Amino acid sequence: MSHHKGSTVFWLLAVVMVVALVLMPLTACGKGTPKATTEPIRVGVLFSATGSYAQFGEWGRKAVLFAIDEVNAEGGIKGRPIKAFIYDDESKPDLSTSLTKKLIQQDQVVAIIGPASALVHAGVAAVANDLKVPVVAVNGGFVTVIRKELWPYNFTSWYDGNNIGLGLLQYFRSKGVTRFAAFCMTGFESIVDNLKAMGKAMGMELTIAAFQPATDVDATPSILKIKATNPEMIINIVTGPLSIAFFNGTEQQGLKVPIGVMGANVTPQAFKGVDPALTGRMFEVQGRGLDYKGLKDDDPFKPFLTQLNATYRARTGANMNYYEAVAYDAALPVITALKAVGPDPQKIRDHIEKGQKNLMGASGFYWNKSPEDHQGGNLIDTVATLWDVKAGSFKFITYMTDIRAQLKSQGIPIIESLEAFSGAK
Amino acid sequence: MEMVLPGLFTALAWGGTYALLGLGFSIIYQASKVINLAQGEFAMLGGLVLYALFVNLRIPLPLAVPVAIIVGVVASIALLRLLIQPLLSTNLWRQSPTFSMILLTLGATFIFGGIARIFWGTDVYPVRHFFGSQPLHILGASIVPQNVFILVLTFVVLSLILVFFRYTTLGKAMMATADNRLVASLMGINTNTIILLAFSLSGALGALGGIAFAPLTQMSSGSGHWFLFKGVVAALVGGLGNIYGPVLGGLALGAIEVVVRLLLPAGPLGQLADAIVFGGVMVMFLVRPTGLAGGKAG
Repeated sequence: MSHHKGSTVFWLLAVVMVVALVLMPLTACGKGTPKATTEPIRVGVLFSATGSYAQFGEWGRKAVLFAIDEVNAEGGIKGRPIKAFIYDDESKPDLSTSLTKKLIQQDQVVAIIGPASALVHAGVAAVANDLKVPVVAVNGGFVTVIRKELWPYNFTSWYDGNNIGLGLLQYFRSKGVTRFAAFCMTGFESIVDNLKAMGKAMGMELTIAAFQPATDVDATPSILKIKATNPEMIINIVTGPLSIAFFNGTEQQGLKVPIGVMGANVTPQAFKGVDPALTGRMFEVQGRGLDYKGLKDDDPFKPFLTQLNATYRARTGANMNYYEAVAYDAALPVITALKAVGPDPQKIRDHIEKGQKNLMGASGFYWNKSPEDHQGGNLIDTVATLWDVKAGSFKFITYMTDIRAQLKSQGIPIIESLEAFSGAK
Repeated sequence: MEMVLPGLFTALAWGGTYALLGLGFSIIYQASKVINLAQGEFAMLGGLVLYALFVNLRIPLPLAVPVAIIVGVVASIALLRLLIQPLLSTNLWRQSPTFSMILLTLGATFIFGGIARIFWGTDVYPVRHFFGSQPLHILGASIVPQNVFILVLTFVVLSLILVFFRYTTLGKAMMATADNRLVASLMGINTNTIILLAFSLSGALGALGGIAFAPLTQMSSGSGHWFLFKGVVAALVGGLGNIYGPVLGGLALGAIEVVVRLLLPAGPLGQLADAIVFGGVMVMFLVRPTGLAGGKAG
């Protein structure tokens, strides 16, 4: 009997111990729960504050912090605010590499937003991929600069420049242009090769591609070469001071043909110094955010962008320029993923790549990233605009859908995108 | 002719600017043997101050230009008085005069760049053309008036400098100091004053280069390195031995750069534009180590 009693006590004690062991961590968890739910979600914000890309970095940081502040003002994500760990990459790829390590290993961020250029992103990409933390950069040269094996954890919010070039060709082709020239920085030959091939498929001839080093400050030699070939329009694939020298130089050399502008020339500041005489001959194809006020009233982006810009203006005291809109679109997928799957880097990456469909962006694109496309825009979402030098703003001209309808009516083949076009390099 | 004449004027304008920058670099080197890597910063300051006065405050050009030049001069004197002269009393300079001076003037580029960033940030600033942007039509070609202006300015400035060195006592004293500082000192020349004058002149020439070239491009607090590079190459190509050197070097560099850009086809060869230019410079150094104008290499 006593043996039986002893056995019962033993089993009772055993059960109590097992229950206690099981409950102990849960109790501890229970005690920590309120702390864990309010603990900030750590996100890296990597932009240049100094160096060549400081201006872009300033815009990028401002827009990303606005997006984060918006979330925090609404109470955070499930009660947890987003804490931004902000660093200046000084426009240097090598520094961006060490800062990315610091963000991931020391600050333990779950995602990184930025940097502001392809060159600096090149310093970030491999580390982010190795340490498996997603990066959404504001990188216009993503396809050209970031090797495909590094794509898994690297994304960008810029729509591909090659396709912007295609959009410009389609706009000008719909206006009857058949001869175009290109002005390009040395090192970007592949973009010109693609333009040449896609233009040829649409019945357009590239008369000349004039190249100059980005460090040049005067574009006269290229203008003289282009002028000698008598093109009907020019595509400019240069940014910075050399592009302004080029625009103004065409006026001075009497080369008064339309110019399709590619690259990061998407803000009024980028056109500072352009001769007002160029009004009426500078064109851009970009997302609808370039001139949301000019969109049709039934365009769903019009109320969305009007509201977003009003909030931005109220909070920052200034209008959201297009570069800031693109940077906002870098924060958008990270925030969307955090809301959907929580602060787990792997889940955030997967959600950005596969879980976000038709995400409405500030730049005016529906973002649909996929394993094959870590940029995610579609040329059909773009609009053609005119840069009004005197007014200092972009003016909506027409939708890409209308441009393509016009091309179709003229019997000109429609190329959907560079990816869908087999003739390009 | 449509391409040749504008190309020629472009080459001369680029070359003229490089000549002014190179001359400023050379004058300091001759007078003090200081390799002044901050020379480009005077051009940057000249261009940005011109923007502030001429574009922002709408001060007429005849007033804005002298003020911008004075800023260049003040910056150059500040470099001499606040950085270079204190260095001369240190052990670092005694142990390694050339290296320490290069390091110091390189550091000065960041100081000047940083100061400019306080006032102008990292933005770029366009200066409108002095005589309008409409081209002059000469022999059927379009010539940019600013290019003609740079050409005339370079010619006038160089003529004045030549007259200064050849026909004024101060200029001759400066030449004597450049030739042999110790002997000049023994002959009663106040070499410290001469060096101060050399730095002032160099600051003025640098600022003038920035002022003249600003309308052809855009100025920013980071422009100094570009101006420095061109100025140093102009001075070395022409030779540091006499004042003709940087002028010849600048014009040669401008001409080669424009010709290479005009003639090189697109593609891989086009990527070598600057490599070809500086390959030519290297060959020139091998053939004429003292530079195009000859004289002492320093």
